[in-house]
Amino acid sequence: MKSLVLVKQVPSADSPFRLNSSGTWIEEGNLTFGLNDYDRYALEALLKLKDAGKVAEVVALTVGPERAATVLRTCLATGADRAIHVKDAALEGSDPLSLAKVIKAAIQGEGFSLIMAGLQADDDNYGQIGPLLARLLDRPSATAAMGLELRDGTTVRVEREMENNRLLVVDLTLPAVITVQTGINEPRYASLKGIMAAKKKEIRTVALKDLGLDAAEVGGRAARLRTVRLASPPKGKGAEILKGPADEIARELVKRIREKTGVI
Amino acid sequence: MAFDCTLSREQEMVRETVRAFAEDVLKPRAAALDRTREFPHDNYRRAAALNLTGMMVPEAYGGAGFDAVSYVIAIEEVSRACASTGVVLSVNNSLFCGPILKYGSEEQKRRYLVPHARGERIGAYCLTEPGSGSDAAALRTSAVRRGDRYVLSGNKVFVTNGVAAHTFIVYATIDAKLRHRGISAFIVERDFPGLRTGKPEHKMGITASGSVEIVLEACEVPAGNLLGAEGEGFKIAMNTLDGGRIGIAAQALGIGAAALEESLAYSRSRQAFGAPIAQLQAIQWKLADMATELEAARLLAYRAAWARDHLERYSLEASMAKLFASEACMRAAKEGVQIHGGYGYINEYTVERLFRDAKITEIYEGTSEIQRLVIAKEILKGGPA
Repeated sequence: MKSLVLVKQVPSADSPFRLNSSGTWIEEGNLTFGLNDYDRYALEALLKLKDAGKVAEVVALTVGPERAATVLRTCLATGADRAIHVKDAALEGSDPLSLAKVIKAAIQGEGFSLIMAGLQADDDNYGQIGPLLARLLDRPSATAAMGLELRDGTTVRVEREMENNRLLVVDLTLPAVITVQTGINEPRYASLKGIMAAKKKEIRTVALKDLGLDAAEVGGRAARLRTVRLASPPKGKGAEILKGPADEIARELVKRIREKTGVI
Repeated sequence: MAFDCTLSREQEMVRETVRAFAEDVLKPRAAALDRTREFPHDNYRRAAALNLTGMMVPEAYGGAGFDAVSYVIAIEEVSRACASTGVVLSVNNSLFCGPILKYGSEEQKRRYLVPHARGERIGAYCLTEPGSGSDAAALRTSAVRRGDRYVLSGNKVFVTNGVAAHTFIVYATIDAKLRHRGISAFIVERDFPGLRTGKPEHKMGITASGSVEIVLEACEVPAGNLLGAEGEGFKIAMNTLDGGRIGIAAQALGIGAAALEESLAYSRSRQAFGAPIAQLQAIQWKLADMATELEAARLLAYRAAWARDHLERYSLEASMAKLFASEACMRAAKEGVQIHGGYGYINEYTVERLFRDAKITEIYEGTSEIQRLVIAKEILKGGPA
C-alpha cells in the first residue's frame, strides 16, 4: 500500500512576528521555518504503519518555495521514502482550492491508498487542503483523527476528536484522505543515520507546466480567496490573576480548567 | 583542504533534530535529574535511538559515521538542555568509542565498539586516581601479567558514567618506574572479578553523570583485552583526551548558550526603574560579552573538530577550543547569575544550575592550566627556547 503525507513549511513559533507593510501577512525576513507541527503527527502515523508492515511506501509532498525543500528533507531523514516538491513562483498567494487542484495533479498516477495531512497549518490555520483534495479525488475523508487503524486492505477506521473529549469512530473505504490532530502519537526524531540515508533519497521537483496546469487558473493572481488584512490580537481585558497560597491557587486553577474545558 | 565554517545541510539537520529532542525530552527533566542525582538511563536510551551514542563511529561498527563538527553541534545542543547528559554522551563517544576505534583489534571492535556505539551499553574512562590527576603519568594502578591474564589493582576516582557503565577503559602501569612508558590501557567489563564501584561522588554540578570511585582488587582481565600494546597506554590516553576536549568544549558551549538564553529572557521581562533591565546598558554589556565570547568559542570548537577530521595532530586546536570555551562558559554562567540578581542564587532558576554545571568544564579532561601548558608547548616547538 502506498501512502502520502502532505506537509507544509511554516514559520517557527519562536520567530519574531511582525506584520508586513501591506498588513496582509508577516514579515518573512526575520523568520525561521520548520515543519508544521500537525504534519509531524501525520508523518508519524504513516511511519508507524510502515514499521508494522501495513504500508509499503511513505511519500511526502509539499507545495512551496525553494526553502520548503528543507521540510521534505526532514521528512526523508525521519523515515519517508521519497518526496515531491511542487515549486512554482506563480503559486504564491494561491487559494486552498487551487492548491488542492495542484496536489491532485502532482499525485496523478501514483495510486496512493492512504493520504494524510495535519489537521491544519500553524500559520494560516485554514484546515482545508485535506478535505478539498478528498473532494477533488472523489474519495472519503475524515478530519481531526485521534486514532487510526487499517482494518484490512480496503477500510481504515478513524477515531475523530469531538468536543469534550468525545470520539466519533468512522470507517472509510480506501483510498481515503485523513487529517490528524496533534497528540495522536509521539512523533519520532530524525536520527543521524536517517539524515545520512536521506542524502540518497529522491526529491522530485515539479512546476505547474510539468503538471499541465495554467497559472491563470490556479496561480496566486487567479485566487478567489484573498487575504484582506492580518491583525494582531487586541489586548485582552479578561485576564484574572489568582491570589493566595500556592495550594489554593492550584486547586482553584484545576477547578477553572475543569469547568471551562472538561479535560481534567 | 581549507577550513570552512559554513555548515553543510546535514550538519544543520543534526542541529535541528538534536535541538528538538533536547527541548522536548531532555530540558523538562534536567532540573529533577540535578536534584535526584540519578543516572539518566532513559535519556541515554533515547539518545541512542537518534544515534547520538556513537556519532563518529563508522556505520559498519554500529555508529552513525558523522564528522566531528556534527559531534560538536550535537553535544552543544544536548548540553544546552542537560549538561549531565551532555558529558555522559561525550564520554561514551570520545573517551570510550574513540580509542577502541583507533587502537582496538578487530575482535575488540566487534565485541565492545559495536554495542557501545549503538548505545546498548555504556562506556567509561578510568585515568584519574586519588593521587594523580593532571600528572597522569604518576598513576599507581598496577597491571601484572599472569599467564593469559593481567591482574589489575588500584583505585580510580571521578569516573563519569561509573555507576551505570558496562565497560571501562582502565589505565594501569606494568612498571611505575617507567613513568608514562609503563602505562597500558585495558578494556574491563563491570563483572570481571575484582572490580567494584565505591561511593558516588557528591559533586557541585553535573550531578547526574554517575561519577563514582572504581576499585580494582586483583581484577582479572584477559590478555586479549589489552588495548594497543603494552606501554602504549599514555599515548592512547593523551590522544583520546584530544578528542575528548572537543566534546567538553561543546558541552561548555551548550551550558554557556543556555546561560545566555536564560539571561536574555530574564532581562527582557524583569522590570527595574520603570523598564525591562534589558534596556540598561550595564546589562546590555554583559549580554554582548557573553554572546561574543560564546560565538568565538563556537568557531574555535568547529575549527578543532575540523582539524580532528582532516589533520594528523590537533592537540593545539583541541586545547585552545577547550580552554576558551570552558572559560567563556564560566564567565557566561557567572554573569547570568549576576543578571538574575537574587533569583540567580535560587535553585528555581535555571542559571543557578548552569553556574554549578559550568565550573567542571574548566577542570576535567585537562584543567585550564594543563590546556595552557599544551598550547605553550605547541607554539614554542621548534624554536631555540
